[in-house]
Amino acid sequence: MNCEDFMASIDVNRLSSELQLLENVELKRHLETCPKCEAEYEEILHAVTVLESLPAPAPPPNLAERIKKRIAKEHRRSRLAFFASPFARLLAAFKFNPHPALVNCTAMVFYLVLTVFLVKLTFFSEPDSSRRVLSPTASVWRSAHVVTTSWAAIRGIPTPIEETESTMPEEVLLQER
Amino acid sequence: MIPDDVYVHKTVEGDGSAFNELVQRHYAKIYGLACRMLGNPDDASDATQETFLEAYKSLQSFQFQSKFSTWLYRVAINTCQQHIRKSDSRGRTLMSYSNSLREQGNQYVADLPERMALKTERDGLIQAAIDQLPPKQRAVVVLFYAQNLKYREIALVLDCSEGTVASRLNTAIRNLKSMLKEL
Repeated sequence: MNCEDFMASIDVNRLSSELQLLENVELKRHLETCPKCEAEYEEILHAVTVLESLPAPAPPPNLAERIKKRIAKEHRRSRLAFFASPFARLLAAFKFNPHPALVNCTAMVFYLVLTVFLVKLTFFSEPDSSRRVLSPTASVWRSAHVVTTSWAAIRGIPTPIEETESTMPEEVLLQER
Repeated sequence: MIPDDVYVHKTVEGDGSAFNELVQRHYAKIYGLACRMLGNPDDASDATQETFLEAYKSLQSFQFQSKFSTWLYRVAINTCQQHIRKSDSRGRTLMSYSNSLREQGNQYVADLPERMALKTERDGLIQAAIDQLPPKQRAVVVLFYAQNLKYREIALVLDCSEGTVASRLNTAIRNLKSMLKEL
């Protein structure tokens, strides 16, 4: 066995126990006759011994708690519906962290109301009556008229003239004629 | 002792607290691995947190073909290699590592100050030598010597053959021997 074969035959896994040398007579014989390989073998053995003595670093005391907190946060986030995330972020900004199911429900109700609002705005809005010509009295009455529908109040849509006239007191109508 | 797989099943079914038990069982080992892979405790803490977070997110992809700990080691190795690639952890000085270890030592280990200083200095030098290794060799050295895994387990973690593990370990030891000669 030459030096190259010797080095190729060394298995680091079994080095420290020296089992390898006991088992492999050829390796042992070469080691006894070759000072260069013996020195190298000693170096490798020393490196292995040093690495085997390497202590396990102690983790910081609060590391487990930090990990658990992050996991809990992730768990909450994963249980939030995709549409509820903005709500959760908003609530978190105020240090308020309700149960994810509650946030989901709130978000759902909000989006439902918003949808109804938009549908009504798009398809069921009152006709624009601003172009209609009103008599002076009717105009006064109209301006004094309290709009009862919340929808119109929000949008500022004038009430249709037909409706205004029909609710006008009798004496006003007579004076006008 | 209840096996890890039971807690994995519970977590997948939506029990958030079940994963805490897995964290409690494995965080010290993962921190040890990250510490040796990255060379400084701050990065190791970050990497440990990221490892568990990543494991939690991708737990559904765990097929129960290996042990949970093996799978977790794989996630940790990938996280550490990402850290090595993107951070300046290799550029951080040996002093910061030694100082942190000394702080930890003073905090947790009741030991003589002189002996403690020698111990941390020696650990720092060993760590500095490990840091010089390429990431693949480093992973094998850390898994074999710091985590005491067998070739077969390391092969599973690194997704390579046992022969590759043996070869990398032999090369790593030959690279390390001159650096560790004085210790």
